[in-house]
Amino acid sequence: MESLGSTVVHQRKLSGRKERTAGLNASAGADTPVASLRLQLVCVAATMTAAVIFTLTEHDDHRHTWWCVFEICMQALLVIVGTAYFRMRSRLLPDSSLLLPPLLMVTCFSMLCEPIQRLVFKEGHSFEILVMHSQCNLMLALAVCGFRMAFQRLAMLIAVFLTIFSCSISNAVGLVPATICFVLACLSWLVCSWWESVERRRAKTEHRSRPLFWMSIGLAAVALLLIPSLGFGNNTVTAALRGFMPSSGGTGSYDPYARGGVNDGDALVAGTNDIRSFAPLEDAPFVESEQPSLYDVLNDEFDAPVKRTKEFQRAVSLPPEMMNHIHRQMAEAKQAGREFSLIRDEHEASRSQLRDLDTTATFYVAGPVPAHFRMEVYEHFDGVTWYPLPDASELTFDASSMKMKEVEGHHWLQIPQSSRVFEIYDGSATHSLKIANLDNNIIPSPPHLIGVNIPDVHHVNMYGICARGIPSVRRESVPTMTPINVVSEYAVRDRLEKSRVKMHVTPKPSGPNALPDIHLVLPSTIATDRVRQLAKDWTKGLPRGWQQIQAIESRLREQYTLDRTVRISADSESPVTEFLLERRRGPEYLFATSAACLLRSLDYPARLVSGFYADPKNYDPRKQHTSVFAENAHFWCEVGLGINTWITIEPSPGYEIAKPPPGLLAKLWQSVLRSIGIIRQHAVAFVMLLAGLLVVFRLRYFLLDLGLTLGWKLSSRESPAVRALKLGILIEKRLRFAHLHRHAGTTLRRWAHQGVFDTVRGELVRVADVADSAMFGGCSADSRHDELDRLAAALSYWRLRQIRRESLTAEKAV
Amino acid sequence: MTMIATLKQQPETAKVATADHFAAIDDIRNRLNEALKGKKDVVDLVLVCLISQGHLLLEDKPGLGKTTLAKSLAAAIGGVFARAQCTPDLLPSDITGFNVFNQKSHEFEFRRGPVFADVLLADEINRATPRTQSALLEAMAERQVTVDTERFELSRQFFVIATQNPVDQHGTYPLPEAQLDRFAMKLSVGYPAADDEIQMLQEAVGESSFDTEMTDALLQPNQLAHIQQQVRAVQVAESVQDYLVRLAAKTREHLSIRLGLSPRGLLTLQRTAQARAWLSQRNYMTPDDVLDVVSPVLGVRLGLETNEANRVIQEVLDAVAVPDYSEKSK
Repeated sequence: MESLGSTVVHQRKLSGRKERTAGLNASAGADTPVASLRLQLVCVAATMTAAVIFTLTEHDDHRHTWWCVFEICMQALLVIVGTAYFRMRSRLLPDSSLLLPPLLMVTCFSMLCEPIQRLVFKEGHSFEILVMHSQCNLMLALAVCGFRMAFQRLAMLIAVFLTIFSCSISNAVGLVPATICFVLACLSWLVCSWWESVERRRAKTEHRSRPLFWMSIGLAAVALLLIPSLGFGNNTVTAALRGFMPSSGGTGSYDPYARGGVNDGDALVAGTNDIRSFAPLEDAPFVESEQPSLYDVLNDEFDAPVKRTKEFQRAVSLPPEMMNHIHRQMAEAKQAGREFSLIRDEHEASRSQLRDLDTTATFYVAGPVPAHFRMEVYEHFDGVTWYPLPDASELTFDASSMKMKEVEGHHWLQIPQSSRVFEIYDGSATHSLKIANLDNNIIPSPPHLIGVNIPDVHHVNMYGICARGIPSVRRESVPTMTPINVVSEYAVRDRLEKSRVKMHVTPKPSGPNALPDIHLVLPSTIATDRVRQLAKDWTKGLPRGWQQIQAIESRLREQYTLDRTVRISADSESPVTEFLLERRRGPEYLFATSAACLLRSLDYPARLVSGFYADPKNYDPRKQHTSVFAENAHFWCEVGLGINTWITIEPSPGYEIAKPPPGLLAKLWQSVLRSIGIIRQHAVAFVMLLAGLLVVFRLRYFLLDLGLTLGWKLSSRESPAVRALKLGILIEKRLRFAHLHRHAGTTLRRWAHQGVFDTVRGELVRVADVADSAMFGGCSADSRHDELDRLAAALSYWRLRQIRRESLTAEKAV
Repeated sequence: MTMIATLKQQPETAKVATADHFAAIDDIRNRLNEALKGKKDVVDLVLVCLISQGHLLLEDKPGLGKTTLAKSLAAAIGGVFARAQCTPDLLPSDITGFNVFNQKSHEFEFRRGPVFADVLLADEINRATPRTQSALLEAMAERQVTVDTERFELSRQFFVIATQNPVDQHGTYPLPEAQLDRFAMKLSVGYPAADDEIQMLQEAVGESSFDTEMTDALLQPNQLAHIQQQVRAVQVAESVQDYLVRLAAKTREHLSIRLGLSPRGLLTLQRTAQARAWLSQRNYMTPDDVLDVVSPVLGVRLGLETNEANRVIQEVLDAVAVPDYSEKSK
């Protein structure tokens, strides 16, 4: 009999062996310091995602895209190879302290390489990036050594820190989807970690099923939400998720929870290679050049106005005093060339002037799009031509009424707000503009402007504001390649219906010298009665107010066709009537004019606005700005609510009005709707894919068994002992697929004595015999290949599944 | 050289001898089944205990055949049978033996006690005082006794079958843990099934109780020692040993278990499982063998009440995964 001493030694030997091997078995019941492969793989996935996020942050200047891709690929390769290497040799590393020197070396690696990189390649990293780089390396190394739970936990901790750091300092392309992936990976790790701790502690006989179904549904839902971000046409990852959750680094999006976030903050730096590369340079020099004016752009896009040989008498039903006043204004506007005629040349103009420029963009916009940028407001319409009336009596601004306000070191010109009586504003938007090819002193500005900022322009005398609230600079033209920041408010259209705005009919002036509102005047040359009748038809049954305005807007958008090639004939007496009642198609200035006339016919103050439309289609996700080209010159209409409050009306189909950023739920809902749209668009393919996935899901066990059976058949050349062991594994897998798997605490032979196995008990016991013999005795237990094949065939997946069904039926019957 | 290789290379005479051993054990099994109707499982475990050189504690109510089983076994293995009826006034020397003065030779002579038999039946062992019980400790653990500084070797096949009555606890001395750990197993015979009782009654009609006693030995001299040697040589795979260690560890951390499995208990568990494998005519041990013997082996040494022992042991077994076939392929 062994002495107690030798017993203890033997016990220690066994205990040591247990520590080495038990951990490799994920289903082992004993506590083990070695993490399971599944958990480590999730950890590796999470840390790799964090490493990708950091690498994107590190290379967010897009100067080394290929190097970035190479770095990510190399990291992934090293991590996979390293994980496999250490996993296989975890038995040889019982002491974690052996791993500390290599981990230290990995941490110091990037620090040591930095001087060499600076000396040889003349490139380097900033200090914080360098520190984070070493942390990233340490994190990946810890994940590789993640067979120890302590290393895994530390790796996850660093990964979380690294991701927070990256999201704080960068707004790199793809950061948001990668962060979502990281969050999912972290959640998976937590779930797996918790599940494994439960597995270790709880009795094996208790029935446990992983929430596979709900996990699958959850992942599918997330994938569905991410579909729009996968890139369809111009809808790239950043475009889809832009502004989803703006960071404090600044995305130009409005978010009440972001710290700061005006413009792109410090993340935007000067374009060092090309002064014309878009980056709102804080210290850019004012560049003077010959640029087209707004009127050149309008003439270029909508062709030049026709010089009419025959002068029509355009009688305007105004009192003589008003007529004189208006005529004087019109004469002044004509002299300045600021009027806009609806009769344009039918011949295509030479556009060489704009086409020959270095850059085709008129200006660039960083900020939320779509957006309308007002350049000129036309208030008087004589039936053919619109005239701006610069010193209209309703409101004028002078230098004394303008004020500058300093906000966080920036000097902002405050645009006087005439009225805040209507509670229709919600949130603000900041746009950074950079004029490239526009010779004009007017600053393109969105409606409901509240502030303008040009860096280093601190004095109010440098600015001017025209009567319609459009800012300008007191020089010949706006300096090009200089960032101009404009802040405007959103008018929420939904609130107009609920607001106090009732749009009462403006009372006719009763005094002898009282002038009628210029915004309500309709020229007599247009068929006023027919236009008014049309407007009444369209708004029939609707209460006076915003609903009528919307009805006119939507009718034009839905029933009329936008066609820039259509020109009103030069001898037309009333282009509006011709467009509204006959052609029903035309360019947007006809839409806008018609809308204004229709509104005026119903006694709503309306006016025409020209400017530019920042089209979301022109958004460049890489440069994170929208280019506004000459063809984005645009006309729209504004309706007055009274007290100098004008709301944008967009009657032209295809153009959208800026809306305040939706809330998180609304964004999610939009994303879902977008996904549904994509699914509808590719319905057949989607249905086929879904059907295929369903079939695969339904037959997953069969397919898995098919693969395993194939592997089993391919093993026919191996020895009977090896095949016997493989048969045991195969049958246990099949039992699992048929939901008849044995409990971990019992053996296959004992499990075969369950009542459900009455019909195949002999075969199961024989499988247990031969497999036990191969596993524990190292011999073949007199089994032959033909017998093993027969057993495999007798205990097929379908047979076991049938047994399971029969047992369930019997249970139900009982 | 491994056991398998040894067995594969063993000559024809060795194979014949092994077959003889199995035949002899089968005979003993049949004899015991005759003596104790309808208790094949108990008989198998008794045989496991015998060939693994462990001692057996039978705990059951009076009249269930404990003594019959012990006497039949002793007769079958052909050794010397001794019985000690334990009572509170039983002295240690009544078990081990004592020196008496021979007036003829004027010398002290050692008068051997029942412990010098091959099979010792210690009936109602819990009625003996702790002092007497401890006299058995040395004998059971080391198969020797020391009397008056003189050491005496016991039989190589020394096998103790102790019985105790779990019901009548008045005037008893529960066995200390140290002594319980020296038993390999604790078994309960239990009441026979109705059919077996009818058969027993039919066979008893017209027969004297002495007629049924079969006293001829079924084992050749030293045959049991050979069998025990073969049991010790049964191969145990590393994965099975891991399983045993994990089981032991689980008993030590289970909240309901007062005394976890000791290293000696672990060795006993392996040895009894080896014996179970040998009885199944295999030269390798499987987790099934462990599961076959684990309940009586743990039942005697975990400090559990009899009524909850099965539940707790089942919890331990459920919580520890048996070696998986896929482990070896890894």
